[in-house]
Amino acid sequence: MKVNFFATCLCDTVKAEVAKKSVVLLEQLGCEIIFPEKQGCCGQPSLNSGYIEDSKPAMKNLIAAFEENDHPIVTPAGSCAASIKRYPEYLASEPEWAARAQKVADRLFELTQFIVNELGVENVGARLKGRAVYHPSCSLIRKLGVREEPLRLLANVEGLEMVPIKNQETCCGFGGTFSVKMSEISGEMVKEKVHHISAAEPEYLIGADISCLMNIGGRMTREGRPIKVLHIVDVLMSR
Amino acid sequence: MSMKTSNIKFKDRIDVQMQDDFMRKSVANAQERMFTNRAIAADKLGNWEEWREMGMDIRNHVLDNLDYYLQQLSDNVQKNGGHVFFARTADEATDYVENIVQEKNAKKVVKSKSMVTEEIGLNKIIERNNCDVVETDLGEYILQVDDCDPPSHIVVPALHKNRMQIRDVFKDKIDYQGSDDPEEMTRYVRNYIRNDFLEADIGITGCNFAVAESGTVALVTNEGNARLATTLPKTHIAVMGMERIVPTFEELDIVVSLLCRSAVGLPLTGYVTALTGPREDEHCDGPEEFHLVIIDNGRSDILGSEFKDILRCVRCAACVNTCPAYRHIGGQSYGSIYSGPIGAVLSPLLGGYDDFKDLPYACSLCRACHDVCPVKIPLSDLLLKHRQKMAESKQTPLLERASVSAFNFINARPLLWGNTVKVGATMASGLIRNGKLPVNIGVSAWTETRDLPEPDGESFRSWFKKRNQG
Amino acid sequence: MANNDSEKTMDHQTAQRIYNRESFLDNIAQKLGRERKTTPVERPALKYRCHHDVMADKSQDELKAELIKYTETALGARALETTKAELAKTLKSACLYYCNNEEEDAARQDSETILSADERLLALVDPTELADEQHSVHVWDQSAGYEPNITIAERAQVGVVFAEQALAESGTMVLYSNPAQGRAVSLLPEASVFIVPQSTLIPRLTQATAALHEKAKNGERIPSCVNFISGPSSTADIELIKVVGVHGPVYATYIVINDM
Repeated sequence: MKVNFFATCLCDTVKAEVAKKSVVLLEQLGCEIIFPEKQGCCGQPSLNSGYIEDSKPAMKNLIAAFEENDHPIVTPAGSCAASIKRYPEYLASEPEWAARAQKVADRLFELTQFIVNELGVENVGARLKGRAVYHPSCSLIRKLGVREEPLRLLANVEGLEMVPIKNQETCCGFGGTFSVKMSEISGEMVKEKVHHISAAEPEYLIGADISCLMNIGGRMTREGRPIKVLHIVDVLMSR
Repeated sequence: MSMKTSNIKFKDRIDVQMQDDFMRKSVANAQERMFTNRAIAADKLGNWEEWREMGMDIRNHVLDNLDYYLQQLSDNVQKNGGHVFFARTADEATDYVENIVQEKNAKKVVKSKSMVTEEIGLNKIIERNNCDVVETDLGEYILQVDDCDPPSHIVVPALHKNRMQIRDVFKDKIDYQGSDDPEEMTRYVRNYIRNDFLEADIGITGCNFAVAESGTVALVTNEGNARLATTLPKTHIAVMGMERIVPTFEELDIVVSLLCRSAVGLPLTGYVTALTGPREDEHCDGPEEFHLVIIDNGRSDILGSEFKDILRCVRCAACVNTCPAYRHIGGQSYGSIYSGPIGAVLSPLLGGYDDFKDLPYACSLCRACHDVCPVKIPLSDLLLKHRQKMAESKQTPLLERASVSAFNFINARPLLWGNTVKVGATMASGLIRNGKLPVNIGVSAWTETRDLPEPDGESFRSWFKKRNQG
Repeated sequence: MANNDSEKTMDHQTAQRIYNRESFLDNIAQKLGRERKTTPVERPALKYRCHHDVMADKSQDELKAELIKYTETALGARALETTKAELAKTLKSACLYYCNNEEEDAARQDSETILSADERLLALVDPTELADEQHSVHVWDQSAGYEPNITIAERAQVGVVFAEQALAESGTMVLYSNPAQGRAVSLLPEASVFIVPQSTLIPRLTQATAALHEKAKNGERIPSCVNFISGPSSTADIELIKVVGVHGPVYATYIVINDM
């Protein structure tokens, strides 16, 4: 099946490995990947700060970038998927664009959502030995309603032991520009998150949103914690 | 006190508050307990989502027909012998109450907890007429006695104080000689203000929900002070935010059931008291005179705006008990009597952006509050709307607007964006070493507590292009 | 102009006790982007029936069991059962329970109970049966007015009232104010004793509010004070630690009459 890939700005620039592995994994699962080059950023840094009007040209560009074909669009980031799914709402005052945005949003899937629900695959043959904690990002569970899919994929990874933590579903404190604008509060939230993760003494921290992982990972390295941070696609590509 | 509780800047406030270890531990424990109790109560009732939907529908229906229901309510209050004063502004409301105080030559007022009376700064107005005002709700009493320390939580206003601090306040101000045991202190206050109830000329309460069909004011309490304040004094004044109303007792059932479970994890609080007008002629106790003061104070502007959903609020504080930001900064950081997510949405609406512009940003948009609100208010969406309003009316910092502008310019132009990504990837991998940049420009807020991410090197799109061409 | 006239008419009708209503409500309508709604609004039916279904299948005996269980475990209050014939005896011992001195051996102090004059209660109990040398029983005397009754109620250790209904789900007694049963009887004394016939037990708030709604629908005046009382007064305002007994009663006993 042909699938469009939305890389996200973070993966495109500093975490290309996540995007690369996502592509290779999807190919292994039988997909042919198209990368519409005109794609940019989903616009969260601007949208979540309230600059809706200013973001419109970029939103329209992104919509147009994915109108080159009708195939599904997959992205390895819950927050970006959730952001794009709100485009129809943001563009409500321009009904034509809102309709186009809705069509794109309807074709858009977060990676684990796509693999489990669209491809019907729960076991990708991955193998990773060790104790791990899963961080469910707010966008994934509360905006997209994707709760079970990552867990099912992880449950089938040979050798992997998932352990729960206190306040598992509490926000890690990233919140995009929140982490910079309200860095004091964000800092306390991420410290608390690391505290809870460390208490479980895992070898790995796994998540499906690179932004959360950068946030938590950044604190863990600052504290000198030996916990390895993995995007779920790193785990799924592990043999 | 009015709604605004601090003149200190937001960042300075949270700086101070976050160093209060007791407050932070207390708030974290309180949140855990109240969050859990709410969940248990909701579970025990069953079909919680259906209850929430009915709650939302009821509140929406009332807001859409608010003029009718307030008309029906006031007709019924009058029919039963009560007075109804409609106050557009805080001043109109306090003037009206002050008139009653003067008319009655009142020397003492007993009050039960009412946030709207704090919002309009009622106590000061009454006190300037040589009339004492006693806040009888234990939490509010502690704060009043402590030189009007601002509340830090809608339901448990003295949450930020530990028992030692309370004991010291009592020792200092009300001659308390006992220990810091909560029961002992509570008994002391019971005795200390008992006479205030018996002597008071006027009892002032808020109104959790008014019932339009009968002219009833329902109070949801635990301590008995609201009952005393509405049984002993000859005059009862109930002050009500204009949106705190339901059409009939059938809807009262739903909203009270949602409120008690969401606020304190109980099917009902100790006392749910439905008061209808002054006492009937043949009765001995209960007020002879009843006044209902219905307050707008900016609520009608909200009603006609994109923030209308916030008026569904039943003041349960479930959102406050869930918010991770609140957990770390505490209620007094908000600089408003309304704190937490509800406070962050409501305070700028009632008090303006000048005083409350930081609050909508003190949120990571995690939406945990959405899940617990009994009337399904999309709180973080409303906070985003505040950000939108501030952005579009250019009330945000110039540097921020400039950066966002630049970002949007590049992001709207594929060629430009593509090149920026490739250059950015190269620069990042060249400059970021051990989680730090050589010069900490613009990222110091991040790097104060975290390392920067380890860049993977080449941009994804370069890799993809190369791979697919080769 | 028409608006002005109606405002004048409204003002005349409401001249005495409603103030500033018209401009206030006009403003609301304007903010909602429409004309004033002054004629009755159709209330949409509630979407679900889950509130009616709670404990719908329970018998009166089962409701009583729920009530007693909840009261004893969650409310820190006592729940007793009795019969019409035994009521006086049960009630007396319930009152005296609160009149005894802390130390078991110490001599009983003089004590007082204030009894509601609700005719349903007086039909079941003769106040003299509850009294003895050291325990005087006063009955609420509506002809005496505020002062005397309040003075006694404040002095008394126990107040006894007759409840309209009881809610099984939440351990709640429903009281309607009436001339013979002052609000103060269940408020001022430190101990509150509630008497309720088993037949008036209902599952939850839903049935109680339905009854009030019926009254309102029929144009009846709702009693000026309807109280839903669940146990003694309490607070958690100090460090979220529950303290029982704040400004209202400190103790509560429910007495269910099985054969009524």
